[in-house]
Amino acid sequence: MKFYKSKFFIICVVVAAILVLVPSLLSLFGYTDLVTSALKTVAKPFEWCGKTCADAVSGFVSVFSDYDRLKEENAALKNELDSINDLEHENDVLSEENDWLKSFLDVKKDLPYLLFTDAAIISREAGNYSTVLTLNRGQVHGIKKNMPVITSDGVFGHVSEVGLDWCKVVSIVETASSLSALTDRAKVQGVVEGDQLLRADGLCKMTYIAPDSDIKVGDKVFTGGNGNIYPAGLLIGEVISIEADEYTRTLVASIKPSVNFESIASSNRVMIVTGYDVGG
Amino acid sequence: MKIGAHGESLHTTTVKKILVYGIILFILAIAQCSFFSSLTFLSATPSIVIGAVAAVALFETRETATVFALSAGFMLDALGGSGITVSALVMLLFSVILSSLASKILKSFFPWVLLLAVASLLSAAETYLRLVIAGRANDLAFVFGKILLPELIYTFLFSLPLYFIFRLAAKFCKSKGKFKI
Repeated sequence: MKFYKSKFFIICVVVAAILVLVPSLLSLFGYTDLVTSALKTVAKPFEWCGKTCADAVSGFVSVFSDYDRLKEENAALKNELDSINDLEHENDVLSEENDWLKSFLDVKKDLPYLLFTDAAIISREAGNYSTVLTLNRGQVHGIKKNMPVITSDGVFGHVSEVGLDWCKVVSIVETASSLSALTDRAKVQGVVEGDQLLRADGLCKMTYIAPDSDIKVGDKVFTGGNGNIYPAGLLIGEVISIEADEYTRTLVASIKPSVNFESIASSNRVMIVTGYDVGG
Repeated sequence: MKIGAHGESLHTTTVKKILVYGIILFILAIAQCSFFSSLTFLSATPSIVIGAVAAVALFETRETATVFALSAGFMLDALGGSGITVSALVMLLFSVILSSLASKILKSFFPWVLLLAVASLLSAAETYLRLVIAGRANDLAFVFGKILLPELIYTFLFSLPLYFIFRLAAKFCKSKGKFKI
């Protein structure tokens, strides 16, 4: 306490007050005191040195801090990109589904007397041509053997085997398949069936065509409705060639099915005709 | 001629002190005002000059500590202040507080840590007062989190080595401080 009452301390306080007041007052009036000015001048090169060193250190440190920031930014952008990709994929799926539902609706309008259920392809036969498919509908969905399977393009085939929640579908190009057919122009009747040779090209044949029938290349072929599998009026395909059978003396036409079996495998959707809308 | 504690004349000792502490203070003030204030990765500038005032208060006599604090305040105002500058008085006040504390503790490293913690707190308190006066302390959470706390921590950390510098300086100047160095 003695020290703080000493002359030395009081002088120090007075000097401090002067050091506060004089520069402050001079600064208020826009002047700089000589001592401060001299000190600043002497310190200037040292200050420049200090700043240069600080800039160098900051630059060095910023390499690491920027790395962390860029890493975080990169991770955030990756997440954003992933979510955009997910969204895009979802959009594609929805768009595909929308297209299919539209085609489903068109078929429903064209064939109002038929009852449908949609089905997704869950696997296909591991052969050269995917004409036997497994669908995700089975007994629990009311699916029975021999129910016709169609797409918006036309007839695909029929259910050949039914499991609890799955079924197998044989296409019209398979040799095990046959259905009554009718051409659109001259109403020529015949039977469309699979052929071992034509199957490899995705084609089938129409047999039992009377030799004097008015059938031409380009005629559209529809289901005839005879038999107990396919209802009448479903598009089968188009005549691409006509030949005479040398044994039976009838005509045999090669049919190009309207359904593209390759694209159907990728679209993953078909319709199973489950019955007839007798009330409608 | 008056003779000092170690057989040197008081005049020689005083000149030595002025030179040694003057140079150290000059370097530290420049470091604070140009080097540390330009480090962009530090959110607040550490007040190492107040650390120096604490170190002098620990190792030196009250007279030396008072003169050092006065010079430190003036130096800070000259190099980094503008407008109304009050650092000389503030440093004098801090020197009084720190010298009083230093007279009650041992002159070893751990008491130095305590003294420095008090000095850092005083520095943060001064900054807070300046912010209040300037009307920039409205967002207390921001002021505390982004300015005061970093300043307190940086001041403490960057001033810790000053203990060794001023210990050496005091030894060189053959200080008459009441603790054995």
